[in-house]
This record gives sequence, C-alpha cells and structure tokens, in this order.
Amino acid sequence: MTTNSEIPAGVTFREVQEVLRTFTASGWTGMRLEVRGMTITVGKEGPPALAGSSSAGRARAGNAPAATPAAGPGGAPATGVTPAAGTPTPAGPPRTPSAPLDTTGLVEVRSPAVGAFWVAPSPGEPPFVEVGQAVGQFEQLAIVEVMKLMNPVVSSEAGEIVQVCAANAEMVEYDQVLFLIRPGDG
Amino acid sequence: MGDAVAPIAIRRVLVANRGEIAVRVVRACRSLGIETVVAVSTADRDGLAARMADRAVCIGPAPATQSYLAISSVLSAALGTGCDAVHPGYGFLSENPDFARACVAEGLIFVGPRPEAVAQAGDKARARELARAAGIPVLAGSPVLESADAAVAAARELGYPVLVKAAAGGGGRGMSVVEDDAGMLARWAGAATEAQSAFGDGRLFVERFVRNARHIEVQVLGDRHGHVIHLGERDCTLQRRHQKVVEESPAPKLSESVRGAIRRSGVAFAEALELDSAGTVEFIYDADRQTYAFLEFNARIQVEHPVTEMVTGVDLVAEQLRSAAGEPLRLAQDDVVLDGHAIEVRITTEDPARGFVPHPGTVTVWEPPVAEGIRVDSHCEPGYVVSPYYDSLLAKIIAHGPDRDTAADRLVSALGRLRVEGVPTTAGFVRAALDHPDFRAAVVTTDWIATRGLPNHLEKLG
Repeated sequence: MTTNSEIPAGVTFREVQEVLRTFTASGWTGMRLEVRGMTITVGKEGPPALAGSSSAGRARAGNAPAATPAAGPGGAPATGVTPAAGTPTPAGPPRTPSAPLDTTGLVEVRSPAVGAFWVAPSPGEPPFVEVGQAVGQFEQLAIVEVMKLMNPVVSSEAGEIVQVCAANAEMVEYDQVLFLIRPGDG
Repeated sequence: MGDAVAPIAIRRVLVANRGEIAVRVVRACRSLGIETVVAVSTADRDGLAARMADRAVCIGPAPATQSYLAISSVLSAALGTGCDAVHPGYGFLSENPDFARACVAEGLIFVGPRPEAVAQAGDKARARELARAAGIPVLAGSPVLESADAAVAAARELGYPVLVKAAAGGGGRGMSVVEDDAGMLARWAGAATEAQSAFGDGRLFVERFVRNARHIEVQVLGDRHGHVIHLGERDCTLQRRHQKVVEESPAPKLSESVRGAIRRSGVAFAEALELDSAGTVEFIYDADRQTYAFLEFNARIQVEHPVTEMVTGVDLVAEQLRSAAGEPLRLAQDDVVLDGHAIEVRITTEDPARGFVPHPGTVTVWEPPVAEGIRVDSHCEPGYVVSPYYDSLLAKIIAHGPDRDTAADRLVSALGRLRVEGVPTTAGFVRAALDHPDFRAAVVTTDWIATRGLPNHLEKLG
C-alpha cells in the first residue's frame, strides 16, 4: 500500500504472535506481511526470499490487520486462508504498486458488511475481477462472508478496476474500501 | 492482592456495545490484562471506547438494528479478530438468549449468565414463577392471559388499578396502568399489538399496581462453581417514565429486618436460577405496607452498578469477567462490607423544559467535575456528537461519602461544577431533585418525578 510511517497502533503483540503461529502451522515456506507500515518477513527454510516474490506476501492490509481470519478459536479458519491465499497470481500483474496511487477521479467500492473478503466465488476458482479489467455497473466484484452468509460486493459504476484494496480471505470491516474503480464505459 | 496477578482464561474480549459502558468494559479488561476489540457502528468509529481499545472494528451503519443488534455482524467481528469472549454491556444484545446461545455455539465465552438463565430471566412470567417457587414474595398477578375477558376477570380478582405487562417486556417498556373494566377492554388489544411489535411476543399478563412504590434491587454475583453472594441493595426509586434517574446504595429508610429479607430473597432467586455471573434482582417495595415483591431479574451489568462498587469496593465488571473465565468467586458473603453511602445520577442530553425531548447535537464544552468521592463514568469529550440513533445517556456521576447526606451534598456540589455546552442536559434537574426535602427525607416514590419533582422544577425555572 502507500507508505505509512505510523506505528501500527491497531496491531497488538499477541496478534503478531498469532500471525507467526498461523504461518508455522501453514504449508507456506515464506511469508511477507505488511500491516499499517509494519512488515513481517519470515521463512521456514533459511532466510526468506524478499521483494514480494512470494504470492502470500501480497496478503497486505489496507486498513485492517491481515492476519485476522486465521485467528479464530480452534484455528479452523486458517485452512480457509491457505488455499485461497496460496493459489495462482504468480508474480504476474503489477498488483504491488510501490508508487503512491493517484486516486483523483476514482470511485470507491466499500464493504457492505463485516466479514471475510473473498475475491473468487469459491477457493480455487478464478477471481471475479482483476486489476485492469473493465466492469459494468452492478457487476459482482467479490464476496464478504458474514457467518456463512455470502454478501455480494457490486460495482457502483461501470469502469476499470484500478486497485483491489483488501487481501483475499482477510477480515474486512463494514464500510472499508475494497476496490478503486476508474469510471468509464466499462 | 498477589492473587490478582495470575492471568485469567480470557485473552481478548469483543465489546459489543457503545457509549460509557463500552469505555467501562475496556477499562476493566485492561485492569485484568485482557485485550479488547470494540465493535462500533459508523457513528462511533472515532469514539473514546474505539480509541482506548486495542482495536475497533466497524460492524455496520448507525442504526442499531444494522450494527449493535445485528447478531451475525457482531459474531463475525468477534471471530474475525480472534476474540475468545464477548461482553455485551447492557441494552442491545445483552439479554438476548439467541445471541448468548450463538456466542457459545461459536466457541465464544459470553460474559454473562448461561444462555438458559438469560432465557429464563427474560421471560417475565417464567421468572416470576421461579421466584414464587423459591419462596420469594411476588406481586399478586395473573398467569399469561389469552383474552380481554380473561384479563378483566383477573383484574377484578386482583383489585384495580392493575398493570398490564408484556411477558417479554422489560426496562419499563410494554406496560400500562389500567384503572377499570372499561379501561382494560379499551387497552388489551393495543397492548398485545405493541408487545408483539416491540418484543416479537404479544403475550400479556396483569398484576396488582402499588401506589406508593419504591424500587429496590439486589446486586447478586455468582460463579460457575455454584456460589452466589449479594453485594447489598440499591434504591432506584427516582424514575421518569420507568427510566431510572437517581440510584443509591444502600437503600435509605428501610427497617433492618426488611433489608435483610430483601437481600436473602435476592440470593434465593439467584440460587434458583443457578446464576453464574453478575445480575440484579429487582423488587417493588410498598412504602405503606412495608412489604416487597419480586419484579424481574436482569441478567447483565446494570447502568447503576457503580453505586454498589463505590460502597463495596468490588469491581463488578472485572468479577463478571472472572466468573465467565471459570474462576471461583474471590469473595465470601462475609467479606462483603458496605462502607458509607453512594448516589448516582444519570446525565442525559434531554431538555426537561421541553418535555425531555432528546437533543442530538455536538458537545462543545465538556468539563466533568473532579473532587473527593466523585466518580464520573462517561464516553463524552469536547466535540462528541450526540447521535439521534442511540439513547441519550451522556454520563453517570457518582458520589461516595460516609453517610447519605454527605454523598448527596458532594453530588450536588459536583453537578454545580459540571460544565456542558452545545446540548441541553438533565444536570440542573437532577441537582434540584437531590436538593429537594422529599429526596433528603427519603419519602419519594416511583411517580415522584412525574407528580412533584418535575412540576416543582419547571415552576422554579419559570
């Protein structure tokens, strides 16, 4: 995300511990996580490869700490994270822009609920939309799952997806910005 | 107090409430080393509780039905942030058995009584049967009635006036005074419709109405190991439209035999309910006959809990959390000693001169009093926006003193130093009530504000 020099007041020590515990229990070999300017980089086999080479490294958070879906009691939700976050998007499209994004003229699509953010209809399937894709008005962009209830996230306008602002499987809040769209013909 | 150091089995609490009680719960959690996540609506995102907590999660828009009352959103926030317990505060979902059950089903600790106890206490008719079975005096009343004709017959047997009450009601809502047969026939269908729409349950019953009534309630505390104690009683007689305005502990002008009997009845009810958390057993006290009767049970922390804390020195919210975590009570009944007297007033943003119309707006100046024996529980600060979506409680100011008059004097003096600008408040009105000879002589009844207190005050305002 954009540079953020603030101390991540919304992240607690225990949450960091849980992130690490979840990582240890996962099948991943490396992980890079950015939360409000704090970066955690870990690897199971020696020093982790850096510079966003791991797909899991994109599990960065815009507003909310990213590790939360894995933090549920019993650890069950962690299994939901692994396949989804671990699937495709191999170092391809420029989804980790390092330059601050000029948001002038962009339209925000916000979360309709508090819950888990899913970019695809189900794990393993291709995402509803990707950056650079043209979408029509009222087109479904994602799902926010609230206690097993799937709430569609729909585009308020026709245009082009400029940014996906939350990571797949992460907990998003009500009203959190999920997508930035450049209005256009779609 | 070496035992206070051991961490309890709750790690992170979702605070499913707003306002002063959210702040209060965050403080108690912090004192126990528990992390907090406050669930907020968009209206409360930048509020004091949200800023004090380890994290805030926005669960929905301002209307409570889409945020603070939305069970799945609250649960989603709790699970999504790795909480292991939920504190419901008061109001909202605090006495909703479906919510308590849903928490437990999701593996979350509900910081309150067992869901079955919440359900049993929430059904007024069932709660009264439980009290009766435990040998506690109950107001002469009917079972749930099926028709207006049955209600007339029951009311004649009890003697008018009677109170028509919703079986699922509470907090003064869903009840009306009926004076005669004609009134009953006129009121019955409407009362059932109102109960249905307010509580989703249209069942009604009637009970005898006491003219010179005082409201006395017993604070009880239980754990998950079968222990129950009481922490004395509170007198909450000064009410306006069944909403408490002034609360104190201990109750004044009560014979020691009645005081002892009321406290024992409170414990007996809690034992019958197998209470494993904090709760309040409410009684109506007939000032003429010097008798009392069970009213209802509140399966949650009460707004007025600070007066009990001030006289007992017990942190009730912390004890709630300890009991929820499975710890045995740290106090035996004999350890509970009431020291002095405490009085609380509720400061709301209502305008007494305009029929207590709630007054949304922005608080521009907020200077709470600081003085010996004064405690202020509030979420207010300069710039705080009083939302039209929620109740108008701005602060609770509590005074403690060695005796009742000292506590009342301290509270009057503190109210004189409270500065609030931007919205009208009830501070002047409650101050006048505390200074009134009727209050000082403890001869007020539950209808005193309506019949004497408010008219007197408005007259003086001119």
